[in-house]
Amino acid sequence: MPRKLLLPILLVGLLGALAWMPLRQAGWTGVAFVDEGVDVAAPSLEGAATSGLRLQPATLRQAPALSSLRRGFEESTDLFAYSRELMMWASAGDADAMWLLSLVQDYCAGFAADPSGYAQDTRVIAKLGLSGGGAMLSARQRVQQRCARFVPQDGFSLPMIVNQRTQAAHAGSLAAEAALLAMDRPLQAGDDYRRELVQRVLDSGDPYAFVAIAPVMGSVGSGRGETLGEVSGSDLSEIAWRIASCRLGMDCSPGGSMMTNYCVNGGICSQDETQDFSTFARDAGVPRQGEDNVEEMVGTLLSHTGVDG
Amino acid sequence: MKYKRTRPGVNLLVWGLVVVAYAAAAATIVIETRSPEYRDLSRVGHMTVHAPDEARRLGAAQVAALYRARSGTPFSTLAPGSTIKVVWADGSAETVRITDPASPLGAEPVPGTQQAPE
Repeated sequence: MPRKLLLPILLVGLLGALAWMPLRQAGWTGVAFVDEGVDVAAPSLEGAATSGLRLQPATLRQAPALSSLRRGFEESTDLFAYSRELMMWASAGDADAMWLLSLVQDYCAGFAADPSGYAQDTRVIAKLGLSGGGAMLSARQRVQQRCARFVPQDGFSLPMIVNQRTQAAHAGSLAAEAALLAMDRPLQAGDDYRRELVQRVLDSGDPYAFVAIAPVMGSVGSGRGETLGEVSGSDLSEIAWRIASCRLGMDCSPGGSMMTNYCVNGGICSQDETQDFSTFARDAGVPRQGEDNVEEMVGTLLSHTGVDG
Repeated sequence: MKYKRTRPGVNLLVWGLVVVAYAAAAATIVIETRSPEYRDLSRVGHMTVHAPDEARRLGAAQVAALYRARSGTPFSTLAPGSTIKVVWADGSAETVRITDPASPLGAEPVPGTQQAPE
């Protein structure tokens, strides 16, 4: 190839790569890239081989029912009263109550920081004419009702939540430990700890631990398959962890905390208000050619727990 | 037909400038909170880089949420690990890293990126 052609070709390639990066970040997925996306999402078996996170044969079973304390987080219409009950259990050393308390703080932080501002913003959002606007308004009203008795003086902040989760993790809450890893504040430094924590989450079958660790299993974990395991490193793998949590007993219903949090805090709302998380994620988050891939990932995650995928 | 040959060094310089300018413009998504779709939000309308961390975190997370809600692919838009540049009401700006789209505190101002109003 003539040398004078080489430079323009290299520059065109570089420009293409530079153009792709922000479009990818902004969520654009062109048809031409579908196959590539599937490849990225494919489980990295090479990483699995070195990490030791392997499929284990297990007898299929149904997900165990959530404890009454955990059900309270989804079912309570007054999270202030519920948090008082949790505090009582937490002061007696109950690690799960400490973890659930951090979930209440996170769920209500947006409202509690400024209740009147929250209500005003709901009215502003109603006028924006968003395509998923109806679902977002319902979700915001749900948060407003459930968190109604919290005030700015409750001081729900990131440091408070990190502190609460650290206490819970030290007391033995695996979900809190997983959440700290996802918040980039792991209890211990080093890849060995991360690898071992992922394995413990997989083995536990704890739906809250699966949800808690999900953010780090997305594209932010790209290139770390050796540490984070076979199902990590792409948007699809993060969705797979969340769908797996639904199969393990997490409340993924349209009014559940997962759908509410995604919609209120992430702007990720289903236009069909009857969809649960698994249906919605497949509908809006998974390209058609990636469906089998996600199903395979969910199966891989659940094979560790023995729960029927 | 005669072509005027440019010196190879000049050619390289021009291409280099094109690449640098393009990279600077394309690398980061910029969200201007003074635009109509954001400016009436209570936690965004008066925001500045001088506000406490927690307030900026909540404001940036809300801005990111509305950005996602407008996109055709909300699940993959501004995923954890993404960064955006947010221009606040007073014209000050900062880079924010998305940590968890499902949390109201799921956006983190990146230390050292704060810029005074231009």
